[in-house]
Amino acid sequence: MTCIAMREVAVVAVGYTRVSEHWDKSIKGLFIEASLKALSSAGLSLKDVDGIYVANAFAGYLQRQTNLASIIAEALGLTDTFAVSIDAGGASGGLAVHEAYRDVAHGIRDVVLVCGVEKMSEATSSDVLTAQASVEDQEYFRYTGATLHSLAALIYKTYMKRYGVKQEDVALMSILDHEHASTCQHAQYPFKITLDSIMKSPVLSDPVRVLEVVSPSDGAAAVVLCPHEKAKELGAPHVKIAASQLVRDSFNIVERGDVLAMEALVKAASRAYKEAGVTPSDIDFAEVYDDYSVMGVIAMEKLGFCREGEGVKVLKEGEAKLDGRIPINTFGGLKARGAPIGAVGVYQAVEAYLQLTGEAGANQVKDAEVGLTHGSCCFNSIAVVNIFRRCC
Amino acid sequence: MVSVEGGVLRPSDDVGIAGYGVYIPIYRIKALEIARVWGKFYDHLPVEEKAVAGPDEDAVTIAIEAARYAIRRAGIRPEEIEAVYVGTESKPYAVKPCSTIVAEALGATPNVLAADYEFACKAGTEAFQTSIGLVASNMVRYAMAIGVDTAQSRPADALEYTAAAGGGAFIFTRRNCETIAYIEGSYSFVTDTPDFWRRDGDMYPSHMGRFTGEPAYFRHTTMAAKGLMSELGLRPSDFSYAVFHQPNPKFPLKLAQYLGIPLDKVKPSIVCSSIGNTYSGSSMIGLASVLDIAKPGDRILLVSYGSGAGSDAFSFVVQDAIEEKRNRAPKVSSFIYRKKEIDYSLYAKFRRKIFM
Amino acid sequence: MATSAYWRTRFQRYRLIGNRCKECGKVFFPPRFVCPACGSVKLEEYKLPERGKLVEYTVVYTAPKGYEVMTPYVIGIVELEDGVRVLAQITDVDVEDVKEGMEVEASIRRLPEQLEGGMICYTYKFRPVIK
Repeated sequence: MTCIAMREVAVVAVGYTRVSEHWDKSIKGLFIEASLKALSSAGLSLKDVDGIYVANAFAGYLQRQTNLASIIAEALGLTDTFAVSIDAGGASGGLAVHEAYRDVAHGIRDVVLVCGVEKMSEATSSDVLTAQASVEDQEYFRYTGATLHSLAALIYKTYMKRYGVKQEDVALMSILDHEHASTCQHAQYPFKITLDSIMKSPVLSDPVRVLEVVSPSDGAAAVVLCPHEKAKELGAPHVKIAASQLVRDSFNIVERGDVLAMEALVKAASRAYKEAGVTPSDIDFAEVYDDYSVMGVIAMEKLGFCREGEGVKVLKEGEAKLDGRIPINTFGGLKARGAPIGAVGVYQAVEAYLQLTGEAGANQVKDAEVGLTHGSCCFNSIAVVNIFRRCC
Repeated sequence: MVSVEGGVLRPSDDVGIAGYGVYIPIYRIKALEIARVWGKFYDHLPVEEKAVAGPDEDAVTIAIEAARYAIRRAGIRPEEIEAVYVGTESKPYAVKPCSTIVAEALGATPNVLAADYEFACKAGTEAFQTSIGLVASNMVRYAMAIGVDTAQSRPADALEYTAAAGGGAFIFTRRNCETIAYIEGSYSFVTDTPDFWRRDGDMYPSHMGRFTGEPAYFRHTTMAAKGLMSELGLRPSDFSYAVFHQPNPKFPLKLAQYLGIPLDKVKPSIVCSSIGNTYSGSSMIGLASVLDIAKPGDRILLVSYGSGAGSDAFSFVVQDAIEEKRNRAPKVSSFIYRKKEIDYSLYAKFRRKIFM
Repeated sequence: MATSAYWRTRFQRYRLIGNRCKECGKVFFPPRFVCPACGSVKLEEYKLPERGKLVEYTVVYTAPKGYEVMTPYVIGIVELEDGVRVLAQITDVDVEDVKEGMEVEASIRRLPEQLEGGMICYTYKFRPVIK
């Protein structure tokens, strides 16, 4: 259940592209750009890499490109290096970090490159919808006529009813994301939005509105993991991975009994806190998976930052802002930093690194020591919680 | 086996109806709305409104709905049905039976006879005769005959005012105390009369205008009805109700006059004004309307008509079980009152008349 | 989806056939291979009731390609008479008619989506009960 860390593991380098529509860059190009930036920042070269995890959700569908890890390793000129693709929808990035962490902790590999990449811009929006829905069980989901938006809407309505909150409250999540993205260099949408503009944006599936939902993005983010001892030798700024947990739940939200239970997330969080030896109040900032505004609000609750039903209170009272009690989505989250789905978890790891090494610039959370990232696929049917800690 | 005596089909063993069900889609378009779009005079429109299949409906889905109600009325298990015949001229597939989909959806597969019938608007009564024959010969215990259509019509054509969607399903079995009506016999009259057709690959049917009247509809229905009565030794006054194929509300009334049947015996079956012409579903829904109100002992004359052309006439006698069984499923009137009016633009969207 | 993959699911789509764990009695729809509650692989066919109540719903305005002809349409959670909940489209309703708690029954309908070669997909939806 718990990873017994034989060695302490550090993130020793990060590299990333801006989240955008990169018309001029291929999936390989994005990957290589982020990876090379990461390696060079720690004074490492490709020759030092002895394992690669590629996090990606949709290349098989959108680019008709399977076997991505080998294709990319080949493009990097690394023909005999271990390389594996991780495909778990929005949990791909977090899961790739988890795998690399395990390899390093157990002494299987020393320098592992984790890179998440996604390229959604060159598909039609209809193809993107279908690709996003392809993480559901196709032999069932396809014939129900349901969409991911409609599932989110069912969760959203249940949430509002149970806790007596309004859409105007839940939508604050998107406003928060955009506020934090407004000063973020790598954000896809670096500007603020208003409640009025959210409430006037088109309804996708009642009550879910366009400005509460992720948009298709391109981007790549890379982190390099190695034993903490080696990180110290390299002399580059680094942070420690304090915990990494993955838990799964039923895909079929209707079968879960309570659509708001999010049991996988609750379990992953509690196991991660235990592994790291911390409590929710020790967390200085968190990057949560808010593919829909309501999912971000629920995540704050399930992660233990507030009580059930009080997520909107956290937003209303400004506690989730950069200078608040528990800063959330410090670079804009999925909504505003952008959501290249398979790469999201790696972007989150990069952001945790930037916060904990004091390199977050205008988005810096003061005295950040412990940060948490949350990845999710299909409404936490897969939930990944990773915890990072500052090294003195 | 079915005995043939001078043209009448009379089962050697008594056959009855174990259950019946209908289904009419919820959507309606007013004839006035169609006339408005095509800039026609608003006088003398053939019907008030017609039933339109929703965007997720076709002949197969309507057949399944009607069939499920028939099973509910019959009070049998689907696997007891040994034959499923679907009569329609609006098959979703040009090649692939509707009946297999219907039989599988009902749960009658795999030990079941299944086939589609096509004879313009009388495909359903054609299926009646096959079912009656199979039951009378003891080859099957329960046979289901369905007549259903989502009728096609060329925009702006006269048929557009009436071409509608709906269907009915009847389950036949040996006459017993559970059957709601038994069959006295049937009589068919068939000739090669090209009043209406659709060639392979054409989207919409063609018709011969007024030629569809006297030489087609009236000749065949009259001959079939008269043949049946003469062979069974019955007179018009022996029937409590008469159900005729209803391409419009006028034809069946005129036919009643030809046959000397009082209009009030025909009117209870006429639903065409409110749902349009449901083609293969028409005689089925007409017969169901009468079964919804008939008393035990009532004799019902059913005369279908299919272009091309032919007519099947039947005589049914209502049994005691009708009183209880009719309430097991929604009646025709429930479907007539259950409606949502749509305008021509939604009609065009639903029926995929907008090229996308 | 391949035609054969679609075909394999015909009983669940046509007749709401799920399965039930012989060990612990838990019911699954769609059917499962292994009971997640007790780990048993002994599962038997189970026919779900075709009537139920609408528990929660949403109106879909943006849908994948092909579904334009259906929008706006309703997706809801239906609690069947035996307490099992299923996700399904609610059909034959105007958006403003839909109410929580409304009585619905299963109906076979066709999906706008077609498989290779124009193969038509039929599946259950729920519509208001016709009295």
